[in-house]
Amino acid sequence: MKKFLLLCLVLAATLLTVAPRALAGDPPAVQGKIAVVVSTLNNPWFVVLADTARARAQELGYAATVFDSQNDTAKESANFENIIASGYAAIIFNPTDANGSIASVAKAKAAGIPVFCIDREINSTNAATAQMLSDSYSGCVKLGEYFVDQVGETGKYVELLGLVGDNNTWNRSKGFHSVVDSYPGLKMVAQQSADFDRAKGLEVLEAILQKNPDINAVFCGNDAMAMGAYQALVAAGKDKQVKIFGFDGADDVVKLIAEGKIAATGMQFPKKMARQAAEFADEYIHGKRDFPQKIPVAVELVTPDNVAKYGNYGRKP
Amino acid sequence: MKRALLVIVALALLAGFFRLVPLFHMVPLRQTRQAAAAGEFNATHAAQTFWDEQLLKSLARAADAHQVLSALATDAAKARAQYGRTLGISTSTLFFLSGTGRVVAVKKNTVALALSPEGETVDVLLPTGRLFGNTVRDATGLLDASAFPNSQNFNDLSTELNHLVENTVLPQLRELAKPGVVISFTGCAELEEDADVKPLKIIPLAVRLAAAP
Repeated sequence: MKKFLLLCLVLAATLLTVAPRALAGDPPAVQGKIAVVVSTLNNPWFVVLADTARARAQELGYAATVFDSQNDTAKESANFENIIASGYAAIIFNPTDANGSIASVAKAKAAGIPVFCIDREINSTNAATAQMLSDSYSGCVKLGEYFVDQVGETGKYVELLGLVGDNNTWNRSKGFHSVVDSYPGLKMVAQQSADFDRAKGLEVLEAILQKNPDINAVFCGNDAMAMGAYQALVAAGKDKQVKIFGFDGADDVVKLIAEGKIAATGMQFPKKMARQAAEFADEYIHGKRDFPQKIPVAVELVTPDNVAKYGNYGRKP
Repeated sequence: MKRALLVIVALALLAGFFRLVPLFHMVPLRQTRQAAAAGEFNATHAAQTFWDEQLLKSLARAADAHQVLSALATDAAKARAQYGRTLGISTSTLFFLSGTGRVVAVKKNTVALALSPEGETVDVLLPTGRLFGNTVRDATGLLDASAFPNSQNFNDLSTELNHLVENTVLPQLRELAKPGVVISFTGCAELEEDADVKPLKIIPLAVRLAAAP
């Protein structure tokens, strides 16, 4: 009887100490630090990317911190110095510049810290542990085909480019032009960078509209610029006659597609990429080493016909 | 006088030294541009090399189109896993296929084939117009994105491979394609997650006349 009572007491003590933590859904004990370095937090899409990576790392039991590079490689480099000196176990990295960011990744590698690139690549295959990249080229081939379908085989259009040092800018532009340039009746009247920035997108398109008031469409290398372009067209009273095409799958653009105000975008699935990168970091910390260097992530075309399937930076459940 | 002589000798020595070890070289701009271009990725050359040395030599590896279409109709998920490949994180499947079919229709940008000897159902569409995207580059699995430090090069390769098909295979297909003709083909296809299996669009890498009507 005594033995039975003792056993009951031990069981009760165990339940009292362990169960409340498990029931409350507390994260597991912190097992190291993961840094999330993002090119900019001045764009909701990148905020989602960074927050999702941080949240998944925290779910996996890590202390996770987001570092904002403010689209500046010098700031990015300083972030890396800080991270290397502070004993982080892994870095989830959204680079600012395909060439300019290589040195920072190489420094982290030399310090024994794995780097997992997300969304944007670096032009090196032996610095990062893995790079998870949206297939921007294929996504913009689909957008280019839809553009021709919507605008027709003749017309005038403007292209707003992203950051010129980023490969995504050119992969998107080349994918789009691989289709649209096959139609000689489609004339690009202006091609200008707006740095993936909403305010610059607005500013640049306003200036272009002064010289080219008769355009039929605007192709934007991301959704922030598409939002800026939309504002410029609304201000000019041309939002009903000019079709806007974006890229990213940002929530505000998906909503405007549903309202028939923006023609299409390419859904990039930032949450999927960010979660996977955090899981890769966890796997690395637990001993895995054989990661594919480049992992393409398919981009899906979002149009008024299928927009109901999309929202919250991905497909609806 | 002595001082002037000393200066002249020193200048002469300096001139001789800099002739041997010049501070800078004058290089024509055109030469610099050519050197830079030589170091750059040549997508046209890379595509032709891949086409000749790998792609055309791998045609025998293609799965039987009739068998794959039947398997897709029975159990799509199993058939995709068995005969196809998925690149990275994607919901579409790539196939490398070969088969023989009878031309049932010739349209502006496609040739429609029935794979069953007496069938009239269009099983396969062979495109004859402009080609876009990465299906040709990726369907065989012979190329790996990880081998290309700059994805722009990898994508340029895709554009050039599409041009090769447009310039070498499609003219041949357009010439062969007449209703009733039987054509053998080997090519690449991409099937989106929720797309209809038939007709399957297959970009041909090789075509030949199998039988006249």
